[in-house]
Formats: sequence, structure tokens, C-alpha cells
Amino acid sequence: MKKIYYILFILVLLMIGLSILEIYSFKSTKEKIKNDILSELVLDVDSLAKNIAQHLEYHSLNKIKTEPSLKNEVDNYLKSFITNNYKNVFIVYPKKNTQFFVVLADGSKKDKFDFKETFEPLEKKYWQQVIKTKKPVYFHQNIKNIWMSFLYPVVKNNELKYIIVIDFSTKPLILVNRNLETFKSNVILFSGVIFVSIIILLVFLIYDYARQHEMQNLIQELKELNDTLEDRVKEEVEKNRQKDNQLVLQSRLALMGELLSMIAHQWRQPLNAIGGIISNLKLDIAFGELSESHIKETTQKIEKLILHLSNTIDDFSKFYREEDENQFEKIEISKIIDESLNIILASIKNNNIDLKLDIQDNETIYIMPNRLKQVILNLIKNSLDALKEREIKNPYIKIKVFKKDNLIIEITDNAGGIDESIIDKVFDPYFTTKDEKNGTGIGLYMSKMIIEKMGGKLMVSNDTNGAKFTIELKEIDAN
Amino acid sequence: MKKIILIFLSIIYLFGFNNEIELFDTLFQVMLNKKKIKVYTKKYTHLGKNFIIVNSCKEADIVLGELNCSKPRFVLDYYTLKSDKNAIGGFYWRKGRPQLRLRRANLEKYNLFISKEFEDYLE
Repeated sequence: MKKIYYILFILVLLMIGLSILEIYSFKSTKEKIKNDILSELVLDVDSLAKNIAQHLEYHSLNKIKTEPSLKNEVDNYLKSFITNNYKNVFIVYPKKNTQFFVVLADGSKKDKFDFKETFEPLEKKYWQQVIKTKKPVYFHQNIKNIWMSFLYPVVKNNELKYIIVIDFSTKPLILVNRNLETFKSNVILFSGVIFVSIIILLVFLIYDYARQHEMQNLIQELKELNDTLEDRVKEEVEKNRQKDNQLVLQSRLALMGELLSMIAHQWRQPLNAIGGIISNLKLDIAFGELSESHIKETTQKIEKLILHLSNTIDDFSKFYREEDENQFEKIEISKIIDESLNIILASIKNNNIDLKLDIQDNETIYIMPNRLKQVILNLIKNSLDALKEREIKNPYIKIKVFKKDNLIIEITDNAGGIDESIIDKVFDPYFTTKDEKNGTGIGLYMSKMIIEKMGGKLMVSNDTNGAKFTIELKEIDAN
Repeated sequence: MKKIILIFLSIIYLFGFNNEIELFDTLFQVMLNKKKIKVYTKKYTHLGKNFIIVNSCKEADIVLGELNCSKPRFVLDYYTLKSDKNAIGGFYWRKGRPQLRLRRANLEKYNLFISKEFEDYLE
């Protein structure tokens, strides 16, 4: 900005300097021309006045005073000197004891003095000076059409006889002024062009500066952005990771409530069985039929049932165990399906839903087991809810595992499918067709996220009788 | 006062009309010794606060210009002044120079007096 100010300051100074120079140059030129003209005219008029004086001396001007008829002759003589340069040529002598002068002859064409007309001059000091010094004098006049007056005293025997008065016409000056005015107009035009050019230059400079300033700011911002970009990306990635983790946790917690009721169903049958065995044991004690082999057989049955209960708890606790996102492990797909069904199977059966399991290829895959279980449980739970809600006759859930380039897990039901108008939105976060109590809208979104994180795909389509969710898992090199 | 008249004449010749009226104001007040002067004139329609322009000779204190009236007449032209022997004076321009002339005999005839400062303009 400082640079701009310097340029501006210099340009303004330059303009002021040029303006002053122009005014001074114009005035001095005008004055010089005026002085030159005056010098020429004064030289000219001096000899002219001398000639007039000599001529009138020859004709004895004094005679005019006594012979007025001579005045016309003198007037005509003086008239011959009236040119563009000299407006008035007349002869006067001072009237004694007054401030007036008496006119003897006048060569003027217009406004002509009468013979012996009294005349009161302006600028009397110069007239007095002529009377006193008896020497010629010229001085400026501010009379219309008269520029200067020249007073030439005619002296004889050291006595002032008369004064030849010559008024300089302003015509030569008008001509000069006209030319100077033309010159002035040209100079003003030239200055105007320079001024406009400077203004345009200034506007351009200011505009350019503003652009440069803006560009520098942008570059600075970009630089700062670049400097902090890595940190910001890391920060955003971390935020996203935390958000994802939170969503995963949220969806798992949502699922946990539902799974707890499933576990209750899962436990009911073995607990009833244990209760029955214990009742039979009590009756055997009462009837004295308790044998060692019977105790052994009964204990083995109870132990088996307790083991089943324990496995269920293990599967459940395994499912909710914290798992690092990078905690991949090699596992057979059938094991994942079994452990998932161990949690939900009782609920399926309790709702009289037929579970069709078709594992065609039991591949060993490298995945995050609990996350995949979470997805499978989510999809089965969705089918279960839809079948219950729509009260489907002969309901079924089919799980099919096969290999086609990648490993495919298909979970289909006969609940009628998903409305085509919303099918594209089912994986959107917080999108749900369930009421607030039963759905959070994050289950399918998280399932898709989990599968994609494992390098796979989760797709949805409508089958003949219902919805079909397809999990496609790529085999990841464990090494 | 002499200086004032000179200044008047100088200003008149520099700025013209309005100062011409001020000269009349000063001169006529001195001559007539009146604050409000009734002027019979055809040349001027307005002469300032101390003048009352009248339409008849009878009402007038002074006549300004070339009008047939027996009252003191102050003319505004050299040739009128030259031909009008009853004029008390005149103010006119010659070759761009203002000229003031006063006639002693006619002033006395009308019992008009002038101050010393105007005596230089007496003929």
C-alpha cells in the first residue's frame, strides 16, 4: 500500500507542479508579450509624437488658439495617426489654476473633443508629473478599449506649450489575448488529458493493488490451509472414527435390549428341563428309588443343560466384547452363522418362524467376527419384526451361504418386501419405517458401514415373497 | 471630501452606473441641503433610498437630464451642457473618462451651494 501512496503523492505533486508551472508560464508569457508590444509601441509612439511636435511647430500651433479655422487641418493631420494601435490622438494644454486641461486638437473619429473643451483626465499624478518634469510618460489605463496613455510634452524655452496625448488601443492586446486564450484552451485540454490519464492510472493501480492484496490474502489462506490440512484431516478422520464407533456402540446397545429377550427365550427350555429333572429326582427320593446310576445319569443331563446355558451366555458375552476395528481373524462362516443363531434361534422358533439354513460353501474367511455377527443378527431381527408385524402365514427366514467369485450370504424372508419408493433410502442413517420404540434408523446404516469396512458390500432387493439382503464378502489376505 | 469625490469618480469610471447615482446623491444633498430629494427624470427609474422620482416638474427639487423645466437642471451629456445655458452642471463621459462640471453662476441663480470639495469642478 505504501508504494501506491508514494506514487499517488508523486503524481499529485507532479500535477500541482505542472499546474503552477502552466499558470506561471501563461502569465509570464502574457506579460512578456504585453511588455514587448508596449516597448515597440513606446518606441514607435515616441518618434511619432516628435514628428507631430515638429510638424505642429512648423505650422505654429499657437495660431490655433487665435485662429480656430486651423483646427480642422490639425485634426485631420492627427487623424492620420489613428490606427489599430492608437485609439485617440489629441493635444491639450493645462488650464491655469485648475485640474482641467483644454483641448486644442483631436484626431479621434468618434467621441471627438470640441475645440477648447475642458477635459479632466484620470490618473492625474502622471499628468502632474509631465507638467513638472516636462518629460514624456506612459501609464496603464483601465478605460474601455484603451490600454495605455502616452503623454508627450512639447516644451519651448523651458516652458510647457502643450501635451500630445496618445491613447493605445486594446486591439493588439485583444489579438494577443485571443491567441493566448486558444493556447490556454489547448493547455487546459492537454492538462485535462494528463489529469484523466493519471486518474485512470490511479484507478488501475488501486484496482491492481486490491487484486494483488486479495490474491496475497488467498495465497496466505491457502498456505495456512495447507499447513494445517494434514492436522485437520487427521482430526476429521479421528472425529469420524469416534462417530462411527459411537454409532456402532449405539446400534449394538439397541440390539442388546432385543437380544436379552431372545436369551430369555433361549434359557427358558433348558431351565424348564432342569426344573423337570429336579422334580423327578425329588419323587425318586420320596419313593426310595434313587440309585447311584440314576443319580449319575440325572447329573449328566443337568450338566449338559447347564453347559448349553453357559454356551449361550458365552456367545452373548463374546458378541458384546470390545473389539478393535483391526481385529480381524480367520473363521469359518458356518461358525459365525451358528453363534449368531445361538442368540436369536429361540426367538425365531418362539414366533413359529421356519428357519431355512442352506450353507453350500463353508469358506474360511478373514473378518471381524463380532461385527459380522452384529450384521447378521440385525438382518434376521429385521425379517423377524417384519414377519411378526405383517402377521405372515407360514413365515420363514432363509439363510443361504454360497460362493460366486466372492462369498455371498443371502438372508431372505417372505414378509412381502420393501416398498420400492423407499428401498433406496433403507441404508440412510436415521431412516426407519418402525415406530420410535422399535427402531432407531441406524441398524442398516451401521450394517452397511461394517460390511464396507471389511471390504465387502451389503445390498438390498425384493425377492418373490419378500426382502433379500445380500452380503458379499471379499476374501482378504490374512498375511 | 475632495478625496471622496475623486474616489467616487474613480469608482464610477471603474464600475459605472451605481456609483454614478451615489455621486448624484452626495452632490444633490450638498446642493439642496435635504435628506430626501425629489428628482424629475426620464432617464432613471430608480435612484436609491434618498431620492424620490417624481413625474412632474412642479413637484421636483431638481431635474436630471434634458427636460423642459424651470427647476435647477443637472444634465447628463456634454453637448446638452454646452447648449443649455441654464443647466447648473453636468455629468458625462468623454473618451471613457467621467467628467463632472458645475456652473457657479447658475448655482447661485437657484441659491444652491456646494461644499469646498466640489469647487474644483466649477466653471
